[in-house]
Parts: sequence; structure tokens; C-alpha cells
Amino acid sequence: MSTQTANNAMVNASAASNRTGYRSFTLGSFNFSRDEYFVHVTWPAKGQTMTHTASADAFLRAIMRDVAWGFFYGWVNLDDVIGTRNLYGQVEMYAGRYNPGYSVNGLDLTETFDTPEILATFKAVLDDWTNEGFDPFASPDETGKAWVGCKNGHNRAAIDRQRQACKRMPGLPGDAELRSDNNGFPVNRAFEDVSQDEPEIHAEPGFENEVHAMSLFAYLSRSDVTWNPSVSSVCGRSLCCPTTEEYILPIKHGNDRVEWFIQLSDELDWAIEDKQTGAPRAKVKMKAGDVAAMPADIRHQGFSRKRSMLLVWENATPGLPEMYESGKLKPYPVEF
Amino acid sequence: MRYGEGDEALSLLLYRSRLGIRAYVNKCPHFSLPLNARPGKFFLLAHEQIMCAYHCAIFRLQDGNCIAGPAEGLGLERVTVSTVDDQIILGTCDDCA
Repeated sequence: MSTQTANNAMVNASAASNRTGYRSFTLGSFNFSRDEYFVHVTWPAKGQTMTHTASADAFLRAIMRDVAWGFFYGWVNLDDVIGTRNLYGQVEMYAGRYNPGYSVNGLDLTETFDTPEILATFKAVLDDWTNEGFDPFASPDETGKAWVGCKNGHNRAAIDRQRQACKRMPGLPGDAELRSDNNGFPVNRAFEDVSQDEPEIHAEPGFENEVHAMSLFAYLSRSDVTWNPSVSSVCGRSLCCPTTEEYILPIKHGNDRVEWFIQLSDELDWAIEDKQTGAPRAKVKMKAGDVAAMPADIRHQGFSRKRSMLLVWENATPGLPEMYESGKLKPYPVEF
Repeated sequence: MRYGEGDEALSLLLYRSRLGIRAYVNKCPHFSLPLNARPGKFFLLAHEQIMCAYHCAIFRLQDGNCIAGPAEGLGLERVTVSTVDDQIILGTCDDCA
């Protein structure tokens, strides 16, 4: 069965399973299905059908980020086997390509799709497989086990949330609002001790409308999502994207540019692997105040045992991926 | 069309349809990035829509409004243009005199 979305992208979906109530989806040569606990992905290789199984909650958390980020910068590994690479207008879907256990033996598959097609399919998967009461953006402690079992309703209010973005800075006239109880952003349970005071601004005469300040800690204490950066400052191509993190980053991000991390509170452990092979490269424990630059040739995954605040600083200069791929820029910002 | 040099040069998106010519500042209101990731390459969709290459916001070219994706509720900044003979003029015809 095929359905056409509002943007004319085709989604190939089966009828709902008589047993579980979930639909299965086909994207190119890939097939996606789920049952009570697991997601199953299959693809053809060497005349056989390869199968990959993942826990449904982990898969939903991962694909939620890929959809919400519009496939983000570079590689979004949904786990160690499957993932996407953003070609900015098209997207590669791969299985096994960056896992030598598959790729060395020719058991991997990569197919390229126009972005609207793969986005529509991923959105349809999320819509069908996210049960009422399960929020893929929330920490496990906040959302419980509604993902388990046969199909039980939807949670569209949760999965349709967009990344919050500003034009210049939240709180400026005509820009994104600061978060408050009144606009649906209560203080998170982990940040009840964070001061909600906003800065005082004493501008020189004539500059009253040219100075702005906000409390980033207060802003972040009211984040309603985990591992989903918002944009709190735009200055040319410099984007400050703070976020709150709890439990495990659901994807392994292989960036196509250098990405700076500034740990603003608590602690976060990073597992850093070679982008192509997944071979371990480093483990980094970041404490409040620590700064790290994630190179352009790695993939990383974070672990936060308590909700913590992280500032991600992105360089959105067009053409950067090509400059790193050609070797014009080194994959790391500093040579020791 | 680009005016000036470097990353901060003014970049405009011109679109000709049966309704005439529309011009927008080539800046997605989501992350304030150009709609195109590569020079001159834009992603036109059916029904006179354009998709931002970075995060998949989809805009209607008739009015610049975002109808799907992360910039929903926002729109491209429209620039007034007029045509005089075969020339496209930025601004109104009053500015041409």
C-alpha cells in the first residue's frame, strides 16, 4: 500500500498487522517492521536478505532525532549498523556501510533518496510506531514503558515538536520567546535549584535598544526535551545550540565539520569512535566548564546519568563538508 | 542572484511563474542559512514549492510561507520587484524613474 503525503512524497506502507497493529514500511530496498519489543530492518546483499534487530525504544529515540534535525550535519548513525548521511537535498540510507563486519564482506547496502521521500517515510514510521504516552524526546524516567507492546494510539503532540530556533537571540522583539510557565515550559525536575533571575541591562543613553541579555541557565532549565539542541544565538554563521542531556544520546553523530562542546553543568561522558570503522578513539569525561572540540573524522555518543546542560557550537558556513573531505581543512581545529 | 562578495553578500531568490516574478531574500528563517547548500542548486518541489537544503523546511513560492518542516509559521522575506521591458528592477516602478 502506498500513501502520498501533503508534499507529494510517496510512503510505501503495509496494512496494519493483524497481530500487532503496526504497519511495515519499505524505502528503496530497505524494509522496516516492528513488533512488541523490537524493530527489524532488512536489506538485500549477496543474494540473501540481511536482518538487523534493535530495541524499539532506542530506534524511536534515534529516528526522532534524525527527523527533528532534518538529517542534521553529516552522519546520523541510528546504531552501529544503520543510519543516514545528509547530502543536503538528498540523503543516503545505509546498513553496514560503516561497520567493517558487514562492509568488508560486501554485506552492506547504501541507497540515496530525495530528502522529501526519506523524510516522509521516517515521519510515517514515527507516527505509526510511537504509542500514546511514549515521548521519544524524553528521558526514560520521564516517559515510562508505553513503547512496549502492540499498537496503542499515537503521541503526535510529542513527535511533531520542532527544534526551537531564534533569528538572533531569544527574548529580542520579534524573535523567539524566552521559556516560561506561561508558554508551556516549566522548570525541569532536575533543575529546580537553578536561579530564574534574568540579567539587569544598564545601557548607555542611545543604546537602549541595542543591548540584550538572557540567562542561558534559566532558559535551559526549562528545556522540555533531551539531546535536541535549540538555537539560542545566531551571529552570522555561528550558531550556539544549547541542549539538556539525560541518559544516552540516541544516535552516534558523525559530523561533517568540527563541532565544539562546552559543558555548562553536571557531567557528560563521551565515547568517540572512528567515523568510518567505529574503532574506539577516545573516552572523554566532561565536567561543568570543560570545553572540547569534536573532530570532523569521528562519531560520538554521549552518556549523562543526571540531566546536564551542554552548549553545542556549530559552524554553519556553507561548503565546509567539501573543505574537510578535500583535505583543505584538517579534521581537528588544533595541532598539539 | 548575489550582490557583493563573501558569506555576507546579499543573495536573492528570483522565481518566475504565470503570476509574475517573485523575489525573496535567500535566507531560511529557521537557522538563518541560505536555502541552498551548493552554489546555484535549489530544491524545487511540485506545486511551486522549494525545500531548504539544510533542515528540510518547505516554502510555497507564491507567498514565501513555510508550509512544512522546522520553519512552519514563518516565511521567506519578500523583496519587491517590478519588470520594465525585459529588466527586473528591485523596488517599485517609482524607483525606476
